[in-house]
Amino acid sequence: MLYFLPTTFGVDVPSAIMREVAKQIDGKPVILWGDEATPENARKLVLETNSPYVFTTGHGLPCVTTLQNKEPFISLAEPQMSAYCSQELNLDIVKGRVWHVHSCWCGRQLAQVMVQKGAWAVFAHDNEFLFLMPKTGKIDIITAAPFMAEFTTDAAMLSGMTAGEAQSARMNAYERWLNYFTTGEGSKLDVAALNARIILADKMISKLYGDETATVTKPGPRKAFKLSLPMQRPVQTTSAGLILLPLGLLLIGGWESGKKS
Amino acid sequence: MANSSVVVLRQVKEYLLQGDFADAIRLLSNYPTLYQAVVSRVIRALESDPHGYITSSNGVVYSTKELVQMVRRGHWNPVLAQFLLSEVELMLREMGG
Repeated sequence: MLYFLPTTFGVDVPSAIMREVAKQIDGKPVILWGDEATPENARKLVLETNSPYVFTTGHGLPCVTTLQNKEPFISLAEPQMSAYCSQELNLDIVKGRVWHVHSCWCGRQLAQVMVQKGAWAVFAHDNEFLFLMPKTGKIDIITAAPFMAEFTTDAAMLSGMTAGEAQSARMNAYERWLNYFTTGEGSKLDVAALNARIILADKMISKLYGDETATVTKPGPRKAFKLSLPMQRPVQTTSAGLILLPLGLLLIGGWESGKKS
Repeated sequence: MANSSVVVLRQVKEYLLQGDFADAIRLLSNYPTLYQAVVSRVIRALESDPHGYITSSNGVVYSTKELVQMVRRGHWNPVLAQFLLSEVELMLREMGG
């Protein structure tokens, strides 16, 4: 299966976690990492490999999901919403596949259009996917937990479950992590209350669009993954807030101003 | 809390799930005691990580301190609306609603 894992502007965190997950749940993961994760390379790989399942992460808006350096990958032509959605992009490659579009907001619009264009099923988020940033150069359980819940989807699909079953597994995983931080071992952590709310918020925005019977492989043993935490963050940023904030606001600002017009 | 609170919180949750947080806040504001209870819980959760930064796959980074100040001022942005939704959901679960 295909995994597009950009590393710029803070998405190194989900990408680093998925890289480890993919190695454990997929015998032959095909990964575009960092600077390789360009829209051109991704398109080429989708067409050449004819993979039935594609995981992609990056920044997102209702009209677009992006890859390395926030380059639009799949996009609607919605220039009034954002300059990132100036033209329709790559909707012709979605047909017949199951997609996990792990970007903010894409469930609102893009995922639904992908289904209209023939995507068999699309896992997406219809709001912002939140997480607590690592306080050091390492990703710990606090930061990783929402992603470990979310990426249960991929383990389920690669176990041969239907999309509907994978969605149930995804929801159950969020509940397990919620319990971990409310009544379980994680409740002893200082940030437990905050992380519990983040996990619940992420659960409620994580949706499945399209055909619940979609599958990408024959049913087999249940795939699982285990992360060795804390794990090194691939991109070192001493002051992530200062670096990310202005760029994030540009992206958000485009959409907000578009909404008002 | 009374059954009426459950009814209000359910409606607030519905608004938030539809992305209509202006109506959610408007409705909740009509019940000052309930509003204060929800806000206090949101603030308490955020203050559990006083030096934390929350981000999303959108790249916007907020400090928890900044978010607390926004809640106190009644400035609900989309991220805070998600915290509100979580809090309402947790309260409904605690109330068996």
